[in-house]
Amino acid sequence: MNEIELLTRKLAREKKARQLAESLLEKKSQELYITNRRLTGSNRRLVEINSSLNEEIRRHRLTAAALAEKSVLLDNILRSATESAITTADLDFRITYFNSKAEEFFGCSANQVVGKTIQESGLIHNFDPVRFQRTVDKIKREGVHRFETKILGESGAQFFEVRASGIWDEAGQLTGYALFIRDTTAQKSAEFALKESETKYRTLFDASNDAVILLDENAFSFECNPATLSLFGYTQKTEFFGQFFQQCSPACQPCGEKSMILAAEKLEKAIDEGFCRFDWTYKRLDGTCFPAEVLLSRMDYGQRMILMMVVRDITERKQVEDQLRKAKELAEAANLAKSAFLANMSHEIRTPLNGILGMLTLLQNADLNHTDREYVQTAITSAESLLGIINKVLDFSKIEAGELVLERHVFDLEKLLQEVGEILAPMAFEKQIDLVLRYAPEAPRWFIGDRTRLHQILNNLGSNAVKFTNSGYVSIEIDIRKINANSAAAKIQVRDTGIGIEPSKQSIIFNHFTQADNSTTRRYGGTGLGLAICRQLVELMGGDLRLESEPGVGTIFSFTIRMPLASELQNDSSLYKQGLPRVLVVCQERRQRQILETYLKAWKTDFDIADDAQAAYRLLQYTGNQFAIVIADDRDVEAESFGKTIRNDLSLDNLALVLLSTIGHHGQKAAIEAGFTAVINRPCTPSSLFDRLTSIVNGEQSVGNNRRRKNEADMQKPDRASALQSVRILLVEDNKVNRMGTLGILKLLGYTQVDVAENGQIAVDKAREQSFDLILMDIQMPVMDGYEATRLIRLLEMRRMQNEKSPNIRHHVPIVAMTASAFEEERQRCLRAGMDDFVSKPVRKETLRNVVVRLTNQSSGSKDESTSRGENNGSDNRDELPVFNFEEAMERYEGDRDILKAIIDEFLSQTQVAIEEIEKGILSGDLQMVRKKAHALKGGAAYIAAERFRHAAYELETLGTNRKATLSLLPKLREEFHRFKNQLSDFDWSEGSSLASVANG
Amino acid sequence: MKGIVFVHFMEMIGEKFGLQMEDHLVSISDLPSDGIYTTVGTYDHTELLELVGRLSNETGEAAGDIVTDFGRYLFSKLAESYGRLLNNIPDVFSLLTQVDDFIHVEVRKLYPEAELPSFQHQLLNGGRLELIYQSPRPFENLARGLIEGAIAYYNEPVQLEKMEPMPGGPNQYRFLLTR
Repeated sequence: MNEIELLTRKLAREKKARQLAESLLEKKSQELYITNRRLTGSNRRLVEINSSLNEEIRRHRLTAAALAEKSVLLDNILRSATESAITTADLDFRITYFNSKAEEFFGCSANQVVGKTIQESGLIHNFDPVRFQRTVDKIKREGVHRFETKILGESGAQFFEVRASGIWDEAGQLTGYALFIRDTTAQKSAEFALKESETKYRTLFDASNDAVILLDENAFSFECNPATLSLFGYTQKTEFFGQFFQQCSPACQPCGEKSMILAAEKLEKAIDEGFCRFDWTYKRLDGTCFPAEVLLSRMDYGQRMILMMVVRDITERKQVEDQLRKAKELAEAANLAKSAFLANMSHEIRTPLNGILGMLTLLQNADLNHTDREYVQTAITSAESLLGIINKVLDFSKIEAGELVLERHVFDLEKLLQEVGEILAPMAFEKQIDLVLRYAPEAPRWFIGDRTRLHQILNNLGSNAVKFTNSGYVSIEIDIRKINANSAAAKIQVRDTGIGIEPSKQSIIFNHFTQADNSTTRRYGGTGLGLAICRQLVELMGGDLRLESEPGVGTIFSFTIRMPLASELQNDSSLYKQGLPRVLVVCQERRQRQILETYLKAWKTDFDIADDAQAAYRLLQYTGNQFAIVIADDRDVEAESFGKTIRNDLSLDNLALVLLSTIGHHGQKAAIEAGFTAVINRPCTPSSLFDRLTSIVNGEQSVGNNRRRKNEADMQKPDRASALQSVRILLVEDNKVNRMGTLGILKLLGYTQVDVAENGQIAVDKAREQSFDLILMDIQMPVMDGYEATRLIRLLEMRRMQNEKSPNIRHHVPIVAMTASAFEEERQRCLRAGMDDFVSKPVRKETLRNVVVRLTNQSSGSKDESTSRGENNGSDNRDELPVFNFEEAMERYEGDRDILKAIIDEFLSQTQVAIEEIEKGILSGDLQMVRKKAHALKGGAAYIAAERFRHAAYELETLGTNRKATLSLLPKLREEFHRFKNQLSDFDWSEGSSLASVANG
Repeated sequence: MKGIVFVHFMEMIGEKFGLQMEDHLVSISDLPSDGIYTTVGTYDHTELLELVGRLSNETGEAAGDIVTDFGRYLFSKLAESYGRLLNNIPDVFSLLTQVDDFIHVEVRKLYPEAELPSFQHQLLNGGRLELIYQSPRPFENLARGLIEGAIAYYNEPVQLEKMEPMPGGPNQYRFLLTR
């Protein structure tokens, strides 16, 4: 082969190689390009990583600085502000750190020991390499070695807690050791003290007889003492732990409340208030229950609150209490039964007694010889005395049973005193002792309270005083102290100069059935109930009956009660009590003289006093014409000769001569005949004296001031008898004896037109057919009782009034209840049923007469009845009445026109308001208020004798039992008010004006 | 094996035995590349063994000697091309001790797929250097030639004292150099 050919082949190979290389290079180039791009990307990432690394470095530097700072801080803390001595060492036990507490504890400075090994430093006395190695091994094994050690110093033992531990780095490699030493002496002694006190309390806790249980805030019991186990019947404490109340209480407590509900309340209370004491019934494990007294108290136990419960079994106490209570209940029941028995018995006794008294009264009026009459009189006296005793027993049993309710109505206290005086006067006179009444003349008289019961108290105390006084005097004194505009305190004293009461007996005389001495009962009689009743009544009134007594000297019973005052108008004595003409008092008796002086001063009256007739005579001889009245006490003046001397020797004919005498004194008639103008009975209250003196000065003369006696005299006049015969009475009574008795009394009184009904139904039938002037209604009757009968009769009347316009028909028949029940409640019930009055059975002549006369308006001719007209319930026929009874009104105010006018003006303004209120009451349906107002108006109208208005008010009060009735009655009330006003506007108030012009308006 | 080895081998054939031999060798050898080599290519190392075997047959010269000669030739050529790389290496020992730690590290950066032998070295007492050659392929004579070429390049009084196979396995040889 030639060279050219060889070269050519080589060139061909090289050409191919070039081509191959080119393609390879191209491929490589592409790879490089891609690689380059990848590198650029990763470069960018590298930049980012770099910057974040930089940031990390920066942070690291900061952290390092902070760490360095902290390290300094920690170092400082370790060095100074720690309770512990701290020292650290490296692996070769070379001390690397020694804080100030350690310096203090070991007594050498850090400089002295840091860098030395523990052994070199001499910190551990009697260094024991074996023990040291053991400790090191333990630290390596368990991380820490802890022990307590005690050093005996001068000031007692010192305790230290030592803790040696390893120091490890983050990788868990042991890098050194640390030693902490803490002085635990204070803690130790506190622990000892705690342990000591715990032992003490634990002993108490364990030895307590009471169960002591600790509860947590959820009422779970977690601890209890041994007494708890025995009390609740458990053997293991653990059995006992849990929801205590749920586990150990019956479902319900004796009060009926669920135990869990009650328990929650008690727990809450104990938590809120710190403790809670209560009685609880618990359940034992065996299911039996026992009563317990529980004290649940809160204890704050560090952060935790726990409750301690002390449970005391009171089964025995309860049993004793139960026995006591049962005994007490038995005793009370027995007492109650006794009271009920007494009440029943007295009630049962009264009914036949009613018959006895009725029959005796009839017998008394029969044709009897002197001896028989005396026998009958004795029988009547005995029966009445028996009635008195029974009434007391009834009162007592009523009070004892707590059934007595005090009444509240307006009454005149002074008049009440006068009445009691009048009752006691004859007894006092009989025993030749003085009876003195004292009532401050300027004091308020009108009160609101229970007049009847107060009367009873005064009467009882007064009677007792008279009974036990044989010489000297008995006085009843009332002092009034105004508390405010609306109420006053009345201090009431009953004094006597009687036998007195031994100090040792003073406390027992108020007891029931007890008197100072059993012999007293024999000598003076009495049930021994009077004082007990008085005391209870006084207590009911809010007072306290006190006793002061000295044997042989006398006794004072006193009490003070507070009562509301009636209206100011009623109590304004200055309106009409002033200025009597000049008076000469002839009286030596000190007490009487003093009383008269007080009265006269209060009335702003001039007076002189003469000790006896001789002195009076001398005074009158020269200055007789200066006196208008002479009041002579018959104990100091011989009336007959005194009267004659004045009239005949001195010729003082215009002088009013008044004899102050005692009821029943024989010399009264002779005194009048000897020239006395009038006799005034002692004792008398200021108002009654004033009234009498005023009427005497005005020329009216009268002997005595006992109205009853005068009435009786009137009744017996023949012309009165015919008037009485025209009164139609219906007697409703089922008991034959009672019926006969009452009929007999009515006959005696002169009433002949008496119809009889045996029960309520018959009475209603009769009342429908005929008209009566009065119905006497028994209460307890078969078929229909008195209440129901009265209601039906009133209904009948109302229908009639609505249907018939005729003015001549009598629409309201007075109905008087007759009942053996003597209580105020009964009376109230009768009045509520529509009755007008009330008489207690057995019906007595006097009482019946007064009621019938009053309610049948049969006594208008009698001057003395004018006052009772004021208390009249107004059953008159309205159209027959005068609009304004001027004469009667004038009489009431002793002819003083100015006073009357003032009172009428007041009445007019008050009435205007009252009528408006009544209308509102009717519209709102408050009928009780309407009737109350009507009642008040009725009373006001009676005061000024506005008769027709009074009647209209009365109708509204009694018939206004429903809205319809009140609506029909209100216009009448208005009409009569206007009529009264119109008449007054025409009225000439000047003296001597014609009375006829108004009398029949 | 990198193309540069084959390019320089063919070049050495041409220079030493003439164009004819070169062409002849290519034509008689069983070569997947058909004897066309470029420095940027990579070829199977068996082609080199084929070429060496044919050449030994043609010339009667031992294959080992041929490879050793080629090693010396290759080093001188590489030194021509990359002389500036050797400027920083002061002597033969420095160069030889850097083969594994430096040269081969750089080679791998450029040719990640390159299969390189390892040269562990240890300086022994008396200024001797022990090199342990270890390769998946039997090119211990190439290594010897390269070492000798390096000695020649630095012109230093360094003797390749010993070249002995190691007992650990094939293609492991211990070279002991003395200075």
